[in-house]
Amino acid sequence: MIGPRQRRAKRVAFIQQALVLLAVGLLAVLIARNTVINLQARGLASGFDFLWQEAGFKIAFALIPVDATSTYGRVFVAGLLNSLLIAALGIIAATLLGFLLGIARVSPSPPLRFLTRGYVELVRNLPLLLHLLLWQAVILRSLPTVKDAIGLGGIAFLSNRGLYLPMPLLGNQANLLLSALGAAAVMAAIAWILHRRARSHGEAPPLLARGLSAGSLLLLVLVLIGLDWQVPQLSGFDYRGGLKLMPEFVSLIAALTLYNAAFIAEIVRAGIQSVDKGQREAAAALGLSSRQILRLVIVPPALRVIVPPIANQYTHIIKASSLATVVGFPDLVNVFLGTSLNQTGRAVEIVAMTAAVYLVLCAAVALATEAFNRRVALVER
Amino acid sequence: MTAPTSIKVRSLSKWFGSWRALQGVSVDIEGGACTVLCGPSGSGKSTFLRCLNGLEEWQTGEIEIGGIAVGDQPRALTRLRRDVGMVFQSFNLFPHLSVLDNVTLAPRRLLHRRRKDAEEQAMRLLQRVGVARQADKLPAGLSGGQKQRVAIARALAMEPKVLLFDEPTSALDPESVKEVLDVMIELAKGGTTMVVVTHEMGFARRVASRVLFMDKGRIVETAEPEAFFTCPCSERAKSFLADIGPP
Repeated sequence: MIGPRQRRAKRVAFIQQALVLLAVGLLAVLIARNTVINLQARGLASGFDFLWQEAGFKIAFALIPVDATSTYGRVFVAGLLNSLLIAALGIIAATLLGFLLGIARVSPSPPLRFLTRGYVELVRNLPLLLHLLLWQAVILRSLPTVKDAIGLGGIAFLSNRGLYLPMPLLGNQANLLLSALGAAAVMAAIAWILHRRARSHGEAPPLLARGLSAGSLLLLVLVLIGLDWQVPQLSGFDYRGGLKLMPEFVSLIAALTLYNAAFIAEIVRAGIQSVDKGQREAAAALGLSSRQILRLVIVPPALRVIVPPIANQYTHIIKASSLATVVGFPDLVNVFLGTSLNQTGRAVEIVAMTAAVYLVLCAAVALATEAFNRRVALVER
Repeated sequence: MTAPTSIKVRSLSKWFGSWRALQGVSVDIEGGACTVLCGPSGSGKSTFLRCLNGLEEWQTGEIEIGGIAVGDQPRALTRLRRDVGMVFQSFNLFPHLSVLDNVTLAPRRLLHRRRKDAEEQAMRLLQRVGVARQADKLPAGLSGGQKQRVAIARALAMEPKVLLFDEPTSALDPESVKEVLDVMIELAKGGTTMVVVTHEMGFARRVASRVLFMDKGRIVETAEPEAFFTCPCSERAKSFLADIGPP
């Protein structure tokens, strides 16, 4: 029921909100106008046409072909992909390690609890930059030069220039390989379904299921052997062929993973401890094993507590991937906000594009979290 | 039908730090009957009950259920617990699972029942305790009495030989108490070995085949319910019964 008092209050609130919006809008227009006038006064060009111009510099590590004749647009994409690669690897590795550490933090074994507690307290209370520089120094200083590289079974090599791994060359075999992989996947899937069905009936899996899983494994091994592997070979001052991971990359991933795993461990610990101990007891009283209790009874309700802060940690990893610049790994900030900005002088455009990338990535994480929360939300008690 | 499962306890002692909660308890609990454990709060009755399925560790003494020792071998203990159901004061339902999934979880995971079979059995049990209509709800949507009846169905789903009840009605309003007690009275007629910690003296008098009275970590008195309620032998039991009023 809306009476005259409520109507008046609504009108006042509407006027206040409109005024605030108007003020913010005016401020934005003012800033934009000022920027344009200043740029023109200094004779600086503006616009996004530079993205189609030749950048004229090389990138030390890129997932797409980039050379000195590539455009700034291509440099942007290469930097973006590198940043995504760091963030994705960092998020996956930190999550896995963080869950293991978090579960160990509440393990019944005192030495394990003590060690993980020590790890968490030591690692999370030092600046990320210190971790990064430490790993950089450890990797660069302690590893031998290319000439004395540590051979790992004669196919992979580790030196202060980075980690060299064998890489398959996908030539004209590509189609054959893909169909073989597909066949193996189908066989494995059928075997898995048969296994599941047998399990839920409380029977032993049929012979066919065993045959299929063995077959798919065999096929996989054959494919791996059949690939045209390119092993890194020492030629001159560096290894050629195969995949070279820069030491900057390795130290960056190591620092991001180990640092963020410590925070994720604390989040996971808090989540596990938020589950009422009565539920653990009820599950134990039914005869469930401690692993089943963790998986079926503790972790699912704990995830409701774990996911929001862990998503927060993910946005931190995404933004911290830009520390690549400090060790000289060509991420988005390094090649675009750094070199490209210096060469073109298009500060407004480049800063806006770089900011938009991080904004969109972090907003995507936030949206995914919200969707998850809606799905698992429970009306508790 | 196999012989009912009896419980044998010999000089069971437990310390919480320097405080001795159980002072060498020895007792034989009859199989296929309902035994009620009562006594003032802090007398050690819940602790004693929780030792029976190894939820509580103890320092000295032995417990045997159906001739099998309750020990600290994790695997053997986990196996034994399948046959010893427990119902808690605070229900302890799994909040992320529906009522039906709460009941089917253990049979599916431990007895490898098919989903369809496990759900049919669960529906029969939920029908028996009168909450079949709530099968698809989450525990949060249930009243206290309904939650406790689901918890009983969950324990029954493993077809246990022994059922332990740890103050099952203490967290309920009077109306729900009756719902839950009615279910327990039905169960007691079924011939499962039941050990019930409760303050419901009416239930004890009507259903129990024996009453154990505990005080300060000891079983002070063991008697038929009629004898216990009409003329308790020990002074402590007399004053306890006088305090809580007639059943």
